[in-house]
Amino acid sequence: MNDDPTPRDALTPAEMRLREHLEVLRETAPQPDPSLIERVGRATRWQRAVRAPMRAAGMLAAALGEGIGLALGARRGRRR
Amino acid sequence: MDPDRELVARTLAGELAAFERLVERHRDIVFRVVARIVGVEEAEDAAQDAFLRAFHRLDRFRGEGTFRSWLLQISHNAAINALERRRAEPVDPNEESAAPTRAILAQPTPVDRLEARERAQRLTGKLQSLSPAHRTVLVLRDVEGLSYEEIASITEAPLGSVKGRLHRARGELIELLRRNTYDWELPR
Repeated sequence: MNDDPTPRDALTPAEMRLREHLEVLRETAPQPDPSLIERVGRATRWQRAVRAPMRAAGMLAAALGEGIGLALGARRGRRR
Repeated sequence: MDPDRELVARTLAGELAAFERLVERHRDIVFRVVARIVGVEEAEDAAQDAFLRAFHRLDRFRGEGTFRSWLLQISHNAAINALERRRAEPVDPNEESAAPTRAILAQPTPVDRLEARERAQRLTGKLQSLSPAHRTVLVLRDVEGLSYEEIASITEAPLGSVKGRLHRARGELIELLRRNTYDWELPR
């Protein structure tokens, strides 16, 4: 993981001591809830399920908007 | 060869179980990194957010670096966004963190365990009072042990900036700890 270690001699004594303290955090690492995978899995499933219909609905709305715009433009043109 | 490449390809082909394998592989490091940035209480949400962002952007993963670096870059951004949403009041550096720690400790005796937990709690509190940019490089380098190159990729900053930021972050944290009543035995 650590393929580029800072040479110990490049650190001041205080920095070296700080690194030792920070190593304690490595040993006391917070752990995720085991249900995280399940929650992410559930969310990806439903989000993927709604993505295609949402995209289709968005395209339909855009097409409708464009159609209405064109129709209104044509109507205005005829009035003139 | 990045061992995650195949799972990425399978996910893109529609196999959601492959993405779950990626989550399983990287959940610990993603959680640790976001927890150190946003705090343990918000880390579950931020980690979930990071994985979902990665899922939706997976087709943008070009494979120039490793999947882990790419995922950690997204996780870092998700954590920073969570902090911005929170718009927290600045933390008093003299105040210890009251945040509960769900720490997994590997110390031999109960006394050692208690002491290590207390030190970790105090240190976590001090880390929270650094700026997010300083906190991030310190965590990625001195806690997670990542290379400068990987940190540069994750934080989207030049290598020189990462090194400079790390130097300043260490100095800032040392000064904070020196002002603390607890003796951290930091030589002058």
